[in-house]
Amino acid sequence: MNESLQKFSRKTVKIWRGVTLIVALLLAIFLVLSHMGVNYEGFINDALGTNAPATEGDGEIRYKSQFGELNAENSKKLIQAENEFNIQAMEEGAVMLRNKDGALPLKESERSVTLFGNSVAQPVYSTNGGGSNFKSARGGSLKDAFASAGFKINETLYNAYQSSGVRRSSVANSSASIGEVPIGFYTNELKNSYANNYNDAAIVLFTRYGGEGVDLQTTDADGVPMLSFHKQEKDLMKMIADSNKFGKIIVLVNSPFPMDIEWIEDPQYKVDACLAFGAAGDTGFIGIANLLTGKADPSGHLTDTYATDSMSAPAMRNFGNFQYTNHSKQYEGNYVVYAESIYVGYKYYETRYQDQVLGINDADSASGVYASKGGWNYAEEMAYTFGYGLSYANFTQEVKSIVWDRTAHTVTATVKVTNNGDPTGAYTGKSKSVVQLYVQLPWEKGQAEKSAIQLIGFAKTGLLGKNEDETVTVVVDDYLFATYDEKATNGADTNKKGCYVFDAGNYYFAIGNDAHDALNNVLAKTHPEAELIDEKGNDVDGDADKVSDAVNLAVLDNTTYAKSPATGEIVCNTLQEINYNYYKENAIKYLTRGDWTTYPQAYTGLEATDKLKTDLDGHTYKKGNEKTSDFKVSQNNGIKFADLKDVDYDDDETWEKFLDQLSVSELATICGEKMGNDAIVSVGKPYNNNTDGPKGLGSSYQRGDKSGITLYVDEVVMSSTFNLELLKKRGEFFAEDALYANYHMIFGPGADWHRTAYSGRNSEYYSEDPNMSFLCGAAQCRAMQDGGLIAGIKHFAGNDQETNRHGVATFATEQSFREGSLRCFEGALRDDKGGALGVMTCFNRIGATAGAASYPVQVQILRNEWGFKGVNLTDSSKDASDYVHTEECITGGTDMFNNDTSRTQSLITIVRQKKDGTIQKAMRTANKHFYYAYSRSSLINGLAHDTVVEDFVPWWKTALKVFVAVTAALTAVSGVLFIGTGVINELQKRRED
Amino acid sequence: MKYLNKYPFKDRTVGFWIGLGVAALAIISAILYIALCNSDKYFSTLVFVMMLVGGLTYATVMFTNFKIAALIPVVFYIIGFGFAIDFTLPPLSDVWNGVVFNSVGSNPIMLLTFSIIFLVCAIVGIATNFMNQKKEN
Repeated sequence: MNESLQKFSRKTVKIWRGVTLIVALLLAIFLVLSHMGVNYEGFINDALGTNAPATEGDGEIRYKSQFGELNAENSKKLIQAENEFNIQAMEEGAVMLRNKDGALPLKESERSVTLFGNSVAQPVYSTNGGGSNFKSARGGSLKDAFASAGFKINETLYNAYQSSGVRRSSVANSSASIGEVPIGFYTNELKNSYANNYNDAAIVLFTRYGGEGVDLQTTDADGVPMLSFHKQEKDLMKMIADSNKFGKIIVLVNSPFPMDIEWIEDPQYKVDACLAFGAAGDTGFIGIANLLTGKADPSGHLTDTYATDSMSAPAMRNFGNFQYTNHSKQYEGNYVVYAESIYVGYKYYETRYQDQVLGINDADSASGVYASKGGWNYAEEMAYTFGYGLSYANFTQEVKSIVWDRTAHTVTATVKVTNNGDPTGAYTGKSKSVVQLYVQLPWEKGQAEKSAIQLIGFAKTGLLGKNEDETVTVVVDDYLFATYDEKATNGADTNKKGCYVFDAGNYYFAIGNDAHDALNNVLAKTHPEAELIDEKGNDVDGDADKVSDAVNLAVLDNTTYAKSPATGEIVCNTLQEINYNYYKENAIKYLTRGDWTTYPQAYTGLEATDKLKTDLDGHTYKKGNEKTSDFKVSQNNGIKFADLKDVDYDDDETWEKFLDQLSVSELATICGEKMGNDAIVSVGKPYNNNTDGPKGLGSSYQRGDKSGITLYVDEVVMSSTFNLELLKKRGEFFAEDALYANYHMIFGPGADWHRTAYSGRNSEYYSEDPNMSFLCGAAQCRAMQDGGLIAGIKHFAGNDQETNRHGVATFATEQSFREGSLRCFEGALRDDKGGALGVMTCFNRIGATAGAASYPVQVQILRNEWGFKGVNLTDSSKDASDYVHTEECITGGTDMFNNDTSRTQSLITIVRQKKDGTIQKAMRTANKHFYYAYSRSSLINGLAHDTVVEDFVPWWKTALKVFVAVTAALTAVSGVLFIGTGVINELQKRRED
Repeated sequence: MKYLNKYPFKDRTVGFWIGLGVAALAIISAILYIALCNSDKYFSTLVFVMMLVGGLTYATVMFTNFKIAALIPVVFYIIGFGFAIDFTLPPLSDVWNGVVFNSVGSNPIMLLTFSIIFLVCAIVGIATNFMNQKKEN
């Protein structure tokens, strides 16, 4: 019996040993899940649908849906309207590059088609990045869209692509692949599938893809630049052309990134028509089908340059991975130099074209030649320029007047647009036309750089039938063509250098079918003897009637925009340190139109000077004179969040009284964001929800149809519409979605510069032209704000490549940064324009300073010059904590640290333990910005002064707390039992012995 | 002295040998973890140490008769797994949000693989704790 007892005793010890470890493992798992819950609460709530519900109260519903009450029936109407919007946006944003002999629209009898290209199995509905996802249930897949339009599709080849096993790969190295099948894929069986059927048209789909974290590769798996015309694609086109089976050959370029495309003019490929468009969203392909069938007329125009060779852009010389020779510390060791100055996109090609025509400045030298057979030749280097786009109908545009009112600071162009109809007679519907307004500024060597032509405004007609006309008025702020001259004396304070100026000389305003046409029109006026050509090298005359008379400024104007038009703040040199030459004089030679042989070199192997290393380290914070005792906390002043909605930003007294009510913890809670912020019960602020992204909200409705929020066509399609009404509508729909989903801030739209065609996130940004981005951002953000959704436009600023985005030092001249990277955002963020009340900053450095810590950009320019009043948050700073330092950021203009609640505790520690009053003051400022912005959002809906706000804790968080407590207790109990039985067993053994 | 074991491999059970195998796996995977992941943004020295020490503390099972000996390595495996999976969450969350990591980022698949290996060590180690380490006379 003793033996049995011993055995039982030993067994019991083992059991409790094992059980202890089991519950200990469960405890570890629940602790990890709890930690995950702290860091990713917003994402988890999105995934589980456990976002904080709207707080119901008796207060005013300030932000209402245009579709009525937020219910299931109205949500369906909203979704239907959004589907139709996407279709219209694509109809107006797809760009027709070629339409030989009226190949399009297809006749009614031409519906039996074969879809070619492996991309048929992988169309681009969106690129990688936060936000909504494609929903095939909306009927907008490529196949469904075409089937709905009455197309009969070759199923044999379509299915073959689905099961080809070949897919594109988007990775940040040379194994990235476009995912096109080799010519050997096309067996006789597949070729037979279209030999006698499905051959009204061959519709060939080519795509290019990128996204967050990955640029397109300049050398991909096929050993060529990703945007080049690959061998598999050439072989495919040759096969189709040589088969002689198809009535028509139509190419669809489904790519937000400008592919090399001049080959569509090559007779060997027999391309009849080509449409280019960005990511299609949920229903954009229905719009494409409508264009092909003639249900709609294309009216899109390019907002990026399609060069013959995408590598020829001067910016490409300094794009990608560059490392200091002597400094390799993570997040500090990489840089990129904007040696191209302002000459991005068409500004380079068109300016150099002018000098080629005039025979000056070595424009036709060998520098920068990529596609020309001899010296640089515009016609050989250019495929389709900015603003290009065909339509079925032909239009004439007649300038009635163009007036620069120097008192009102506007340029007004009045243009009569007439629809002359489709010359082939195939399209009989109504059409739209875009009036594009450009300016040529006077320039002499030694002045600040200027483009020979630049877009300053545009307008789109309504739908016009044949022989109908409309007089369009384009009104433009002349600020958009002021030049930032770093050397100019500021007219408002002559002790300061740097100013937006209008140089003395002749100004010409012109309309044109595109940037090149507008420039040719100007040259026809200014140099009637010049021999002008189009992009194909054909002689053209230009049309001087489309150009204003010269407006002459007798002297330099350095006063009109010496101060900001938004705030009256003096605008002078603020960013001199973002030029690498600041660290090492004359190290960088920037491209100048005065000498085209300055076409940039690649600045590899730059040295990090000692000063630069210090600046890269970034620990620059110095405590000021403020004391924590200067500030009150946890006061009871009776001001609630609901009361703030009408409190003026400049009412300092009320704001100070409000902020005095908040404890240090409550201040810090706001600064540590988690895709939202906890409720602050003491002041009646409910839990607020934030989400991504530029392509649509990344969640689902809390009310109504929960099938998923609309994935919109991308921003490239949107800008290509040249229709600010559609941008406004997009903003309205985003706000509607947010009301249904109970979100208050979205990290979008995106507005960085399409500095090159290879930047992975170009789909989320508008254009290579900063003025286009200015206007689009202003229209969309104003509509979002009016609808109660905070527009957190991103990534401010200079996130123009994904490579090394964490910490890459972006070096540029102040002129190119102001007129380029910053101008792209300015329209959205200026208080007198887009009025966005949110901004998300960048991962990159601006110069050597982390974007989130850049006081000159985030405070001096963003707030003091532009009048921005909203809330500024970092991009996910948890991923960037090594160089995005808390003190530097919060005193440098950051209000919230996105996705990083660890900053909350850091800030509490700094204030309470280090007694840092400077940080406490910065936290109060950050909170003011937060409460101002959110009191102008739908978070305020229904809240009254006496509305009781409760803390919101999602059920899974409570459950995790319980699980942790239970498993901790069980671990302790079983541990004690294990030890206890062990001791008993040992005592028994000794007694036996 | 009676708690010391002069013959580490004498009269050993299946439970012991499985535990020894797990210890070897822990040591090898720890070495592979530091070799393959040390440049990863989310590499953790603590994880490496936990798994390595966990494997090495199996020596207490081999050379002592303490009942608690078999529990010690598994405690290290559990802690190592916990931190490993915790450090895998950030890159996984980025992949969830549609971010593709570049070459100076992280390899969440690699990190997840090691986390799973460490979890296997913990689970199998737990199982061996329900078994004897030495044959009963």
